[in-house]
Amino acid sequence: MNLISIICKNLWHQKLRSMLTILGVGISISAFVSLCGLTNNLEKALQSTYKLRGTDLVVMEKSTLDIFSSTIDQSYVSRLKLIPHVQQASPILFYFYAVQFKQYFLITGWEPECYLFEGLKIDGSTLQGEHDALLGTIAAKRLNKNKGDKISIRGIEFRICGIFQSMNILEDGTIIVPLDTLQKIKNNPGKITAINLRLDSNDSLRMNLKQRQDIAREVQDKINSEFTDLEVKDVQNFIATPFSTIFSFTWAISIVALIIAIMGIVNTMTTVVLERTKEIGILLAIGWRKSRIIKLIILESAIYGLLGGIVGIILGYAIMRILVTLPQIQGFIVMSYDFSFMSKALGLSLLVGISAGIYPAAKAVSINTIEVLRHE
Amino acid sequence: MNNAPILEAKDISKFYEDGQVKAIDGISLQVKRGEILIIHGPSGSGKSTLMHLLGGLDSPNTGEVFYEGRPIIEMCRNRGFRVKNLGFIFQTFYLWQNLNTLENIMLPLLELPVSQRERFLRVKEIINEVGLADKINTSVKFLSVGQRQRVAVARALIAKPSVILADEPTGSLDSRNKESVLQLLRNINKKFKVTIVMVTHENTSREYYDRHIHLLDGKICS
Repeated sequence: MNLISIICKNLWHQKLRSMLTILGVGISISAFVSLCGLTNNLEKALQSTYKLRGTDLVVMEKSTLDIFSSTIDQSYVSRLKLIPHVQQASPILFYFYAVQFKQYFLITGWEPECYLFEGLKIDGSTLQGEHDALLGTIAAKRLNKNKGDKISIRGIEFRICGIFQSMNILEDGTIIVPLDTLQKIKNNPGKITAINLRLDSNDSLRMNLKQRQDIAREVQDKINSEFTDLEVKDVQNFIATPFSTIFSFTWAISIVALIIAIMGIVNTMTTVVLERTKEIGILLAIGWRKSRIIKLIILESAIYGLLGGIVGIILGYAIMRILVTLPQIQGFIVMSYDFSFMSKALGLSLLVGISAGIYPAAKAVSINTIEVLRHE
Repeated sequence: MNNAPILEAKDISKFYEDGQVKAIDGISLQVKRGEILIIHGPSGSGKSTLMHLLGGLDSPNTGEVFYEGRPIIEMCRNRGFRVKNLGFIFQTFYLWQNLNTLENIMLPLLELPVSQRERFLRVKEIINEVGLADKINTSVKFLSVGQRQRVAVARALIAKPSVILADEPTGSLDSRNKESVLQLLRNINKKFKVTIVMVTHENTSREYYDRHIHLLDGKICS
């Protein structure tokens, strides 16, 4: 017998209360898991897409919060191509539009011959005509369309020339149309959202990471000094910047959820201490040190946190699984099992449990043994 | 044999409510090693308070209690002192309802650096002594009051203390269980040479104790 076996018996003795407390903690942790997990997955998926495609740098309008707020002139593309080490420069244009007048999709405008197509597996042909559109597999599924079918974007009819599968699920939810056409739809000719740069270091296997980073830094410095209205970021930074704002929001919501979890355990453990006043008093009388009582209470509380964490992770991933199937957001959310994130969530749950045990433990050791015995 | 008292109270007093109530009023007392001492008295005579003071659970306002010649309050600050040297039995047993007989008896040992094997061996030895070998894995919720008090006795004895302090150990028992528990305490006293200080308001048969003092209004009157 040890403290853990005593705790397990205590939890088993009050099965309903234990289950409700664990469920309460689990729901709070699941909010954290699903919110932070989705953002985390989204960021990682975006980063991997850019990296696998060989994009080293992204050039966008200076001082904009995220890529969707950026508008730059297309003439920069040819000027950027002249910079040493810049192998390819591909302009892109993003808009969210309702397709078929009902569902919203991210429409991206690419130049038909750009390197970005390299990472796509296309069933059909690539963009050839002015009104050709390539649909990602998820977008096609959402719209229930196949190659050869027609779709309407802002009243203009497009022919689906192919269905593509990208390196990430997020991109599979988008629609690609010719850049010129999207500029016309938006009535904004010559304007683009950003320029993706692929450097020559990307193709060289002989270069080590540091050499590649040095080249990227050299190009960044050059652009920053020559083009004062542009901002150039490496892929990691480019994706992390808008995500830092999203992370702030998800963390704020998660912290509220975690506080609720802490309060739930504090409530249960305080009740437990009040119920066991006599038992704790007697343990102190027979010679248990206060530190052992503290250990007993905090361990019990930590077990609530840990079990709640396990329930929370299961629930959180279940919520994510449900969310990715919702047609409204399908294609914008990425589902993946990240064990490092799961262990972080479990660690956080443990921390929730331990911190929730502090007050009840302090209350337990403040029990006056003599008072307990006098009320015998 | 060492004739020095194992426990000694020197002119101890305990007041409550800013000195308005004198629970113990200048008591001096010696408890000899290996004896069973009965502290007898009516309700409110201060016998439980005296037991708490003798066990180092409470400190007197004046005077001092010594364990083997050293102040007990200071001794109690040492890790494991109370578990190793003092065993406690209470009228209402104070057992952990969620735990079984074995686990309740073992509780004091969790405070000592004793291996799991050694814990089981000790429980096995004691549980036979208190006659509950067949109830070792039974939840204490399902034991009779007499059996529960035997679990409490075993718990007090498990760490092999020199002194057992028993506060009304037969107070909740019927006459048959009362005799049985008193006989058990006498057997333990003889077999393990453990000193027993027992507080009671009932008359106890002479065969179950060696010495007896009577307490009235916080003073020893005989």
